[in-house]
Amino acid sequence: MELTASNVVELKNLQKKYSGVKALKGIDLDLPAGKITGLIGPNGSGKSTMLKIIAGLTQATGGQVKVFDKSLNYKIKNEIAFLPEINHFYDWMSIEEIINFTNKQFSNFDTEKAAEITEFMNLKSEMKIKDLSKGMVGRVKLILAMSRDVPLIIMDEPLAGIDPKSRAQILESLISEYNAETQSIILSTHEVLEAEKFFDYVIFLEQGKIKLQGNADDLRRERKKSIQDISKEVFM
Amino acid sequence: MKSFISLYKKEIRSMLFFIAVSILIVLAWEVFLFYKSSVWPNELILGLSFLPTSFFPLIMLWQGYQSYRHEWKDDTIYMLLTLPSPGWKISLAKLAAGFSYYLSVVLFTALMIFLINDKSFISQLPSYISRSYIYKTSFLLGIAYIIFGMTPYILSQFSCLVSRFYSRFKGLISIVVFILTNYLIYRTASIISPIFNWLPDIPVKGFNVSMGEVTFQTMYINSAPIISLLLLIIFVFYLGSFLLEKHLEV
Repeated sequence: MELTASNVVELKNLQKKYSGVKALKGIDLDLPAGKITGLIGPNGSGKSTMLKIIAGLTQATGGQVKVFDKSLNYKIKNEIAFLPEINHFYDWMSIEEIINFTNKQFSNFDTEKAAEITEFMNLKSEMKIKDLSKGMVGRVKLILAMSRDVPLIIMDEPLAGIDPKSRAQILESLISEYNAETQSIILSTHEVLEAEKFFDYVIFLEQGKIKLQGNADDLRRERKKSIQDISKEVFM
Repeated sequence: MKSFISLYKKEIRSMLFFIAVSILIVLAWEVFLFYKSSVWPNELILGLSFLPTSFFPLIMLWQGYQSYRHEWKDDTIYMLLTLPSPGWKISLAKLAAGFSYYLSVVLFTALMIFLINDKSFISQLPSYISRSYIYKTSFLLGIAYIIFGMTPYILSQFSCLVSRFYSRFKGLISIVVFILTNYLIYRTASIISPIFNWLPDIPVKGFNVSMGEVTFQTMYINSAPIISLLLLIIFVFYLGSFLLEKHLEV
């Protein structure tokens, strides 16, 4: 799928309540196409909730969500690769079984590319999920996302709990496989220092509200600070 | 179609251990009865050989409930909800796998019952009960039994999905929803069944032995309430799938 819409995601007054607690308090956002967007915020700021709503895993209690100018439905999930923070694989499956399963489910999955990335990630396809470390599972998630020719990749804390060496490897492979002409990435992370050099656009979220957003380079230039330092200032 | 087959295979793979254990338990029980067949009366052996069949609908009830409970418990629901498949396809794959399990254990048990009781009981039946009559009746009873077993699966699966809307007391809510749904579908089936009165009745051949005289007669079972019930069960299945696709969340 080509990126034809100028905004991949449009949120209007997006709200979400959990048992009376407001997780998102009216988010208005137009996420530009062909960019890597960093979603930054402290724990409980609503990052995961927002990403899950965009991916169609959670229902908004108010407002509007549009992905590629369309309301969410199951068909649109073929165009979105979502990487949750948790390990969501069947632990009895091997990497090969997961790749085969994903290949049968998504029309845009490339098994050859998956095999290449598996090798690049130093993983063996016969390895079972239950035998993998957290970092290895993170890499498997990345294999599945990067092997699909999708216009939107959503990653919820892909670097959480992963050692610095693996984090660097994950980011490196992510960028090497990313195609700015056809793809957009939304990535939430606490590892701002390591990831900020890849961000084109940044959103600072706190207590369910957007505190600041803009082009990463513009923000750095205007404030004469790194994104890491800006986040410290914003969430002070 | 390949996405459905892949989902079905995944479900079967996750049930494989359970299928093997069920078949081994049935085998152990029937072998035990086989060794007792020379000591215990034939009628007792026949009755006891059917014992596993009384547990299968209960196992199906449990399986239906677990089919989605496990997905949330293990966080694998994330995987299912990110698939570009409608809710009915995901639920149908689970149902097909549950049905395969049920069919395999029922057929295996039926085979074991036949093998154990063929020489001792079935072959000694009076001449007016022909083998073809036994096979035909067993076939009809088998179909009724399979439908009877799939119903708790669908209803408990639906109850589990409804309970996912609540953050607490999910088990209790499932039980309440299961009981209510059962009551409602049986009540509604009796109300809507006159709509299907035009359907032909199901003939069942029976016999009566009186004063040593055998008389055969054909009984007719009203198909309208059965069809009403089946349609309502399909509706409950679809409703559960709709909730999964449109309203449930992780």
